Amino acid sequence: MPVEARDLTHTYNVDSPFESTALDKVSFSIADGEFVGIIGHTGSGKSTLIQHLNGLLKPTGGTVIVDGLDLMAKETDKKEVRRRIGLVFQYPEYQLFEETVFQDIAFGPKNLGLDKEEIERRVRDACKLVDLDCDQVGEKSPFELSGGQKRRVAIAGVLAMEPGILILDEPTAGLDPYGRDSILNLVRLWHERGKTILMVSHSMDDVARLADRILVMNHGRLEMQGTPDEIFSQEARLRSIGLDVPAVTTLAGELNRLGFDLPPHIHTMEDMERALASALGGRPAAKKTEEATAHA
Amino acid sequence: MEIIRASDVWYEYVNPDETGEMAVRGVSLSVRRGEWLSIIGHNGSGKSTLVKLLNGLYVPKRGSVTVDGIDTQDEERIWEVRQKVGMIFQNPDNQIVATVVEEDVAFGLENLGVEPAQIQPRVQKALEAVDMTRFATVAPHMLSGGQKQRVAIAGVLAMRPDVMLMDEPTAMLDPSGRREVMDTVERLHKEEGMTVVLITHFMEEALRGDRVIVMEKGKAVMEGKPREVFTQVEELKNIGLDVPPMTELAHRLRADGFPIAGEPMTVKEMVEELCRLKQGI
Repeated sequence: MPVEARDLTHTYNVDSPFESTALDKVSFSIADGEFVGIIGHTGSGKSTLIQHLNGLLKPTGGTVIVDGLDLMAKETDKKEVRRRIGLVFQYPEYQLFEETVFQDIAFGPKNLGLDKEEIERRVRDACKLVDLDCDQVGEKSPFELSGGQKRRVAIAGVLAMEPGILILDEPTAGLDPYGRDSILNLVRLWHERGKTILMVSHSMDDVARLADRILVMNHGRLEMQGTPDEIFSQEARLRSIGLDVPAVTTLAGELNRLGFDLPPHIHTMEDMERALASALGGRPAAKKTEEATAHA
Repeated sequence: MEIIRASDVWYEYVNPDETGEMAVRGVSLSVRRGEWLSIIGHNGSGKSTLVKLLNGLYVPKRGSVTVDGIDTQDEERIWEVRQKVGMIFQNPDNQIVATVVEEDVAFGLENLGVEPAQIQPRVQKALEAVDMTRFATVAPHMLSGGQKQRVAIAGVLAMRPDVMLMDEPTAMLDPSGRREVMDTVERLHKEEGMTVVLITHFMEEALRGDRVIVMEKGKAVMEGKPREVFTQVEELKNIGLDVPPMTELAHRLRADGFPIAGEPMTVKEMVEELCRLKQGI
């Protein structure tokens, strides 16, 4: 399901002294099955942007088109759009409310009017994706779980709606490395099912590792868009707008200035390991790739 | 000289299932004046509970915690303890109470009953220390996350604590906000001699400190200089933790058969080591 933003503009508090433009003519299109990372400093408009994509916020100018449905058109059924787009907010664990984990995950599918068997199937499938044992935790209260587990339950609730497009707003904020990897892993699994992913992140390493394409927001405008290679090769520009590049990219730049002839576009640990192995003596580290993916 | 001492501290929740937090099981540690101690560990390892024990929000079930010689169990002196140990939390929005930056920084001082004539200079000095003077009269909601967090730090500084206890202060910030806050902490530590206890998930932040303690299942399982702790890559990975990116790279290159000497942990050190290796070929 393609997503398209056309001149998307959002001005808060129009015609008041507090008027501020959070989105300024943002246009992009995202193809089916793409994994798109959205980066930008705090207040750059990322969260405002994603809240437009499923019609939670109404643009003050321009429009969003999801799978051919124009969100600004009167006849568009907004509910239908929300069914297709799953939105995982920041700190989604604060939105858990049901008595049991099972009921919490089942809440969305139930509202879709699905029958009991289908609901059960979806809850179990979602549990499996987020690596929770449904039989073990299904009857527990979500509030008995650890922070990382709560977040996975909340995400499972969105996955159980089986949205074609999954949008996540900083899904790993505040998690330890293990919790972070398990969230990123489930996002990757969901993507492998051919779903479209939009992920807002402050971690350049995560975006470099996972995204096919990156949108860079700055002061409400779409400052850059391109593949990780295109984006992270512009270190100075990224720094000037409060962002960063992965540490290995900085290292690659330094080394090349000193005459190491490393190939361009090194953004992940695996890239760097391979590049150095050949620069330092041609001992290839090809065998490591699999292990590296597992780590990711 | 030590400012905080925890001796065989135990803390257990009555019903751990309900809180989801792990207990602290027999932790002993000491924080020296002027030191920067970082505490790392995964979620549920007991770090946050330990932090709450260090400034007397919790009192130990067994063992004791003293701050500048005052036992946190001493109810009469608990406010002294809290004043000596200033806390910075994860979410900047939860720590800002006033509608103007300088009023927010003054909030703690007013509560302490500081003379009005003294409040203004102390607020100014605190704002200078975090480089936020030019925002003194701005509304906090106009600030970025990193700036808000620096205001929160100023609010703590104005109260002149002996220790700054920070519980994942950069978890919600973007890369520039993170850098801003950590640079501020580092400057306060180096130039003003501020004692810092930092809980973090970002290993690069722990690298900046003097000492690291690794928590696991309520116990302190590793302790040492950042260089000593982070080079134990396998042990850290086994308990679900990361190592700083350059340490990870060094570890991988070594596994590939390259003789990486020393323990490069920063980009600069890695560049030097790789240049040395390359010349050796």
